[in-house]
Amino acid sequence: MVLRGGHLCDPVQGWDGPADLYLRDGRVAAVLAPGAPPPAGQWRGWDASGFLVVPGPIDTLCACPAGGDPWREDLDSLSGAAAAGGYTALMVHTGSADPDRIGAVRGRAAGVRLHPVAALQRDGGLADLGLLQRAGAVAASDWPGQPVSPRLLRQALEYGAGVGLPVVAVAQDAELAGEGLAHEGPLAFALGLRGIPACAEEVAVARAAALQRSGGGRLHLAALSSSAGLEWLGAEVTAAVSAHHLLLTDAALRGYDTAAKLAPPLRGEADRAGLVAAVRAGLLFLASDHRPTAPEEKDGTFEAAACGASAVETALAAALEVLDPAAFVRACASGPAAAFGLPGGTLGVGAPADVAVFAPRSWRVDWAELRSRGRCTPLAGRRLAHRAVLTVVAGRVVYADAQTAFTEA
Amino acid sequence: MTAAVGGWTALQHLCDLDGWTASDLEGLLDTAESMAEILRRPIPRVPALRGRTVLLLFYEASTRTRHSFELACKALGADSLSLAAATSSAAKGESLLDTLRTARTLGADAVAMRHPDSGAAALAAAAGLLPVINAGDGAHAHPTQALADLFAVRRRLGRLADLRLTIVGDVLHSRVARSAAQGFRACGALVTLCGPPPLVPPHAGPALGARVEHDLARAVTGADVVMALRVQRERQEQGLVPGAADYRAGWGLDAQRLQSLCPQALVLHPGPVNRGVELSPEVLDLPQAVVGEQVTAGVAVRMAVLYRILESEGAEGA
Repeated sequence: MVLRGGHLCDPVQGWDGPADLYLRDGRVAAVLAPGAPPPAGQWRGWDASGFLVVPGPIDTLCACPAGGDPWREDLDSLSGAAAAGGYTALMVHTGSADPDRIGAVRGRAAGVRLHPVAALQRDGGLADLGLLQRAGAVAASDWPGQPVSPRLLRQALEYGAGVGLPVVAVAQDAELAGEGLAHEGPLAFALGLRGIPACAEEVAVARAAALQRSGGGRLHLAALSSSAGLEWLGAEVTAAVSAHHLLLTDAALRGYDTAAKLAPPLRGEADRAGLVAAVRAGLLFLASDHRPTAPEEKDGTFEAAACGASAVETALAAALEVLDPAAFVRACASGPAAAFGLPGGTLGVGAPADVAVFAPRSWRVDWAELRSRGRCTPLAGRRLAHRAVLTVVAGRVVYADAQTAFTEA
Repeated sequence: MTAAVGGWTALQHLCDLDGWTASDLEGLLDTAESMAEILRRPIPRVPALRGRTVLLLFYEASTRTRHSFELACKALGADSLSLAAATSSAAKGESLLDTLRTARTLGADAVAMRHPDSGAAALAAAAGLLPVINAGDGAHAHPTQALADLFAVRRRLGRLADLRLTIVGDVLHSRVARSAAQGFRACGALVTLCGPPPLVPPHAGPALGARVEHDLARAVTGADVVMALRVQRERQEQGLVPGAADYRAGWGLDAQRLQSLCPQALVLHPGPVNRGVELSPEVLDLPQAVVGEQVTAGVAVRMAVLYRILESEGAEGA
């Protein structure tokens, strides 16, 4: 297939302008100036003029759905939702230290690529990181699940380095966060909600970074909510932020909106602005932090509500509200691919044909229209200026927006 | 009833004092004055709300507030139905809304509710099942208590504007403090929050539109009204305060301190008092302690709130 005339943005190749993108046999076959004579062969054309064409976005933080009941998220509904949001790959945090489970997620035939992330601990000790890596895990994580001790985190980093497995750590000190419900600040105080201090994150980031510095290994912090720990990031210590935290502040909690109950919590405007600046500077990756919830988990009081929201369908479009195309691609495609050694991240010739296309088409987020079975988003009612219209994984179209006319060119 | 009830708009719910202006509050206190007059009669009853039923739904232990609502219902001729509900942490919200549905089916016209979770009253109000009167939700709000305090203070001092109110104690966990700060400030009072920094953090000031002053002497000097908040033993276990003696040394109010720092100030306490911690026992016997009047004031303002909510309900239904 050929995507003609789109605005192709690929910082790895230094491309940021109109181009024709040729895909064949699951790989990028050629990238040519618009209208240049095609390479030999038959090409099925898609008109992408006016659209943004980027290397397939990779989500670094996405909860592995438990499935079970038909109304709960499963890997199929997750994959479908992610494809509709423009994602071509998901790092699925399984919370499992069982290589068979990792292998099952890895081998799952789904629309988008599923990269399983294993649990780094089992029975209080180190999980079989080598076996998990061989089974297909791309990282080991303490998300979700029991917090790990600094000693265990250090061991995971050291051992993980030996078997080629990066460690993903939750950036929140559980004891400092306590039973907090919201960003510690004037709003939580006025609402009578127990606060989670920003230092709960800063301490966890600094501690994890110090452990990495001392013992080596690759460290990635799952999701930041505050700009306080940014100084600890570097080549071997990466971190991500969710699009929710780039667009929203704790003001979204007014009226006790349980959809805005997230972990880590939404914080104040200074943190939001600091995180946006950090993504623009290439310091942070973008994560969806997709954590679907069942309706009964969000129906009660703010205190009783579960943390999390459905995000794979909205995260990329939301990020485009505040990022230019180059920063966007670095944060959601080339950065994660390089940090975790994943296929993709660029559309250079020979790279996997994983592509996302975004149209400058304003839409209103409506929870009732989500494909995710979570149906809960703090962005509900908000207008976003971009929308994913075509998602291609290994040269195969896994999502094409029905309303967009890709006139065969 | 021919009480002065003109000039106020229909009250649908009372979840907190957000958006209440001085004239809204003064108007409600005027209604409460009429109610207090009824309470002074030999037979303190009027049939204003005869045939109406108020559900008293308490997910948290309370005797004083619940009795106050019961007396208010009785004085207005309404029936009250008390329900002490046990909370199941698994489905707090769900069981709350289910209970309200059942109550409505059984003929309740309004609910006065207390719940351990902040925002529970707003959740109940948003469900649109019954008019909701918040009798305390978590650490968030306790508007009828604040109204009672406003009522008692206005009675004693004749005004609310430009008063200096100092709230001393565990502001962090206190719904009484939040509502009182909001209500007094709306009426034009200057509010100061005082207590150990873990219980009165810096953002308490901007959150409640108040001044934060951790030094007790500076905070209460020149105050017209001092409100002492209860300090629970639990806070000591949480490490927020070292212990009762340490707290008393820094922020306990005794007669001598009050006499020397703010001899004129009225002393309010939302009760029940931990005698010897936040207040020394003799303070409650001082002439400026308004502890007893707060109880009467509580019934009068709850009558006023019930009357306004159920009267407007009835008018809509007619």
